[in-house]
Amino acid sequence: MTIQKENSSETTPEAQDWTDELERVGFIRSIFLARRWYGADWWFVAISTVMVIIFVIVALLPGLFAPYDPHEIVGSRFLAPGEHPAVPVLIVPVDSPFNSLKDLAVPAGESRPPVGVVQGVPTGGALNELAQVIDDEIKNEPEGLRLRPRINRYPNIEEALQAVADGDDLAAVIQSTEWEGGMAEQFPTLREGQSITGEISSTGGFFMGTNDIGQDVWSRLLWGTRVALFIGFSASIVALVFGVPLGLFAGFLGGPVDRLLSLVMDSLYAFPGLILAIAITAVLGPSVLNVIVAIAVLYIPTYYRIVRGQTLSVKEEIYVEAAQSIGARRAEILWQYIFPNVIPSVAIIFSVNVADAILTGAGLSFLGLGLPPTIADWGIDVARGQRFIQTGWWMITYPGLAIISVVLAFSMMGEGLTEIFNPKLRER
Amino acid sequence: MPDDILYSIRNLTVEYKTRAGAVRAVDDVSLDIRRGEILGLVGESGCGKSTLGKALMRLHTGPASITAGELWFDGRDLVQLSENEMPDIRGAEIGMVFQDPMTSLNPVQRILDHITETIKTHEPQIELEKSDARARARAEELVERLGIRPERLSDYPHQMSGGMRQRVMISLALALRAKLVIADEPTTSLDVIVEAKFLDLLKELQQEFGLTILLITHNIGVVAEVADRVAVMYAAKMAEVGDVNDVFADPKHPYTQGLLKSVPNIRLNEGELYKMGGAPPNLLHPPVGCRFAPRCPHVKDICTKVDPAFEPVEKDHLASCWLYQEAPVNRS
Amino acid sequence: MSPIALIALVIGIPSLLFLIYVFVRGSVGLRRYILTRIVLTLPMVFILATLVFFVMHVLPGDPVSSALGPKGTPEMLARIRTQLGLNDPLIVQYGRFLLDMVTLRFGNSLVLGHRPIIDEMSERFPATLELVVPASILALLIGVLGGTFAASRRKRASDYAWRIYSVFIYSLPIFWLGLMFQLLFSVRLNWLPVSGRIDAALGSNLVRITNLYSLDSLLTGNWPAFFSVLEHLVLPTLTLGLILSGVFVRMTRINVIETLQADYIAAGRARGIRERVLVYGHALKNAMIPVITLIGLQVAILLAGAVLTETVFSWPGMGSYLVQRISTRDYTAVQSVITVFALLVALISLAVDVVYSLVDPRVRY
Repeated sequence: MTIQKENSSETTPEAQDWTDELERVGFIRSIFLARRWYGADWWFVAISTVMVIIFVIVALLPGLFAPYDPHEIVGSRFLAPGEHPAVPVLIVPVDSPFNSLKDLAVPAGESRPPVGVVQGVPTGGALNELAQVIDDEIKNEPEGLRLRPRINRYPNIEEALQAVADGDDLAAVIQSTEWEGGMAEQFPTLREGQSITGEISSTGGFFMGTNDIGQDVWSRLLWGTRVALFIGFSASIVALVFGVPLGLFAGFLGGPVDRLLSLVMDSLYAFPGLILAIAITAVLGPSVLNVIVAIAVLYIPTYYRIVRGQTLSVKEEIYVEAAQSIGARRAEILWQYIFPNVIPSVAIIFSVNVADAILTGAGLSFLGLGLPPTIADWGIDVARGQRFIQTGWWMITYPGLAIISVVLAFSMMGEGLTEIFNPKLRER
Repeated sequence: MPDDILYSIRNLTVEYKTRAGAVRAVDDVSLDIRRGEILGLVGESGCGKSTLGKALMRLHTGPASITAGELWFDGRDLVQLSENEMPDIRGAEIGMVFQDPMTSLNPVQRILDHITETIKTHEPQIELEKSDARARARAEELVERLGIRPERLSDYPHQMSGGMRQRVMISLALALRAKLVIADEPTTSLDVIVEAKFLDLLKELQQEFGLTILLITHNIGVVAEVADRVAVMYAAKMAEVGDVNDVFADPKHPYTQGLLKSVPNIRLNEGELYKMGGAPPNLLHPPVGCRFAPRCPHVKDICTKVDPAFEPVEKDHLASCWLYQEAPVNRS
Repeated sequence: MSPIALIALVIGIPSLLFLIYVFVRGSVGLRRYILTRIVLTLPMVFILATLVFFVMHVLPGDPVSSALGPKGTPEMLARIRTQLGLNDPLIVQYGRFLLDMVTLRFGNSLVLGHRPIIDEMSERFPATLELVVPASILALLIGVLGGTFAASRRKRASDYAWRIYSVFIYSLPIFWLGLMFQLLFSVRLNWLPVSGRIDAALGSNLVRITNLYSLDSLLTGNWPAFFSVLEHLVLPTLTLGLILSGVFVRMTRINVIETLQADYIAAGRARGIRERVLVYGHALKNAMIPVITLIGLQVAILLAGAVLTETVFSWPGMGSYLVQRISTRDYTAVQSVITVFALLVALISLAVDVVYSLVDPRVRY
């Protein structure tokens, strides 16, 4: 039998082409290939990434999305979502120059402006009060204007409005809900002016209602994203910056350093995080920075453990031994072999960490610790809502849903990435 | 089916669904296992022999499945059976001895319980009679025959040596007097001396209990020592089958020839070790024609175009190679 | 006899006897393992104590003046500081702290009329216990069974459903969940009480022995009280238990998946053992071993959750006590509570290790 020639190619020609093709595929294509490969987990990661991006955008530019300032009192208290706030408004003829109550001020001595109200309804009283307030304000001004309307009382709304339409009264004051509720159609020659109390008459009501002092819940929700994400990211980054190097060194160096550090970290890890954070913020005082520090301390052990574990197992891989045997320096080994293997795990922990940090932060502010009460934050809002659980369910529900959405996005990302990266979970 | 054939595998194909596509780990394989014989199944890693072994009991889960073929065991086509009916056959009629006895035994279960659980699963009357003593007695009898002291039955797997664990594995396969025992690389994790003892034991048991054994291994030496017949697999297909002496003396398929030449032999004064060039094909995109063609020293034009059939070359000696078959007439 | 002493005896004596038994009957390896664990707990307690001390004494912020507020004249402040030994060098303070902690001398509350803290604790600790134990059992049941089921149906619809469940539950802020339950079941439907441990009227009639109201009402045959306690237990237990179950589902699932890939599972299948027996008998038993250790570590989550749950439901336990004392700047009380938590964590950690050693035969023999 003849000795055969050495066949140089490792694989058959067809197989060679196929692997080439895979390498030439671009980034975008490979994402779509990944969808086929990883199935539902790909969806987990994809959807959550989109959600995270949305939240980050909202957090960076809340003013773009929020209709109102979170601290501003925009309506009456305890308005249900979509409930039209009943605000007393000025109704004037369509072509009237008057808009607000103040417009009706006239120079002292001139005849007092007639304004109609419905008898027996508190709007009358409110009008009186407010006119007095404005009058007190303006009576000392150089223009010498006074606001002392002559209040005419009518038995019902139609008559009051009719008086304005007929010109007997300059204006009428009724509840905005009544105007919108049908009066507007009945009196086409009249129009709605401004509210006399200065509160905004939002025709659509407030999307998520108002809270106990009249702030818009939806705007507070959007602004709250900023605080939540800021705390979440910062705390996780700080924890990472401390935990990962510690874990690398402990795992790599081993020995007494490792044992001591691990003992400390294990003890810390076992201790209830929230309680430690409570203690730290209680002692340090309320501020955003303190909250970040308190939460970061909680998560350092998590990074430490995982990174140390990974480092240890990579250290035992043969190729690291091989590298050592050819004289690679320890720092080189650490950087080139161990570190890249550790990165996927760290990425996963990071996303889960942000989720957890946001939850802990919300828990802290719910308890009234950590954040100064002037900041619009979800936890604080829920705590405030708790006192009024009978009157306003929306004050608790919506901030809670916001927390859930953000935390869900990050944990879904972590969960999906875990399935994709974890070799032990792969099908055999 | 003739009476002397216990298990007839016909045109079996097993596919794995992977992320990159479907891979046929076993591609249109046919093989007959005769009653009372020890059939050695050899081939290099990745040729599909383990997959074939597992397929004989339909042990696959997850991405692997049987997509074609028939498995005629003792008069029934196992491919047609439902998943619910298979556990009755596994362990009772077909038994398996695994490669690594350490990981193949449940670390939190005592050896005794391993055996009695197997017995009780297949013979539920014992459970009903609540007679643990009977099951235990059978277990003791069994292990004693295999050279394990009955006191060791209450041990956990990690308390035993490798060789002992492997004998426990055999006893598990024999607990219910299985007709066919599939041994999947049973000696790969054993050292040479223990391996020799194991093989002796295997031969003894085969005589005593009239077992039929399918011995899957990549070690030709083992096959030479105990097998009656040998089957050679390459790249998911059957390359050659025949009586062990015939095949070793006169291998027909070039792959078998290369395989036998590669075995180091102290007596012969060859200068260098023989090495077959090239590597097995990528099963994701298998080559057209005969799969061994790229490496074959006797390759002909037809080999790269059409896959040879698996046919008898001599009596009871089959091979799939164009050297022994007529090329098909003009195909356009 | 104070309830804390009672509980300590009830838990302590059997545990001690059990340990002795295990020690005597166990193998050399087991003995060594348990001894090592006990010895290792000491540094843990030490470290945690140091941590607490560090936070309370070393971090900036003067708790005493905050506690007294504007009422505190400089002379009062000075007097109290000396009384609490806050002017002594740090080392001395540290030593005293450790000593006090070991002997459980918690001192008196700074604010609540100088009431001995240990009295307060002997009411609060059983309350927390009464909440935490049923919640853990609920969480374990849902978590372990759900996780195992999900693992056995990997990559199919029910697996994803359980994964979504665990991720979703994890994202729920526990205080929010509690409030939602309150909103639905108490405020809207009026089925269950909003807060507290027991109806006030029945509560004043209840004879307290252990301060575990459910147990006490059973022991004294006080059925109305017993049902009232159960009523009050439902929502808080459900809240804490559900949240915790999310974590357990995920842990169990991952461990069971890994276990199911083991060779011995395939070997068992090859012997004809049915799938259900393989999953719930063999795989689960093996998977539970690392899960036990992991569950032990979840005590942290349990206690943190307890703090929030107690606050929401006005449940008079250690958690709500901690929060209350913080807002009134009662520094000694806060320190005491945190110390107790630390001790608790260390003890449970030890207990988990011991249980683990008994369950895993590889350690036992």
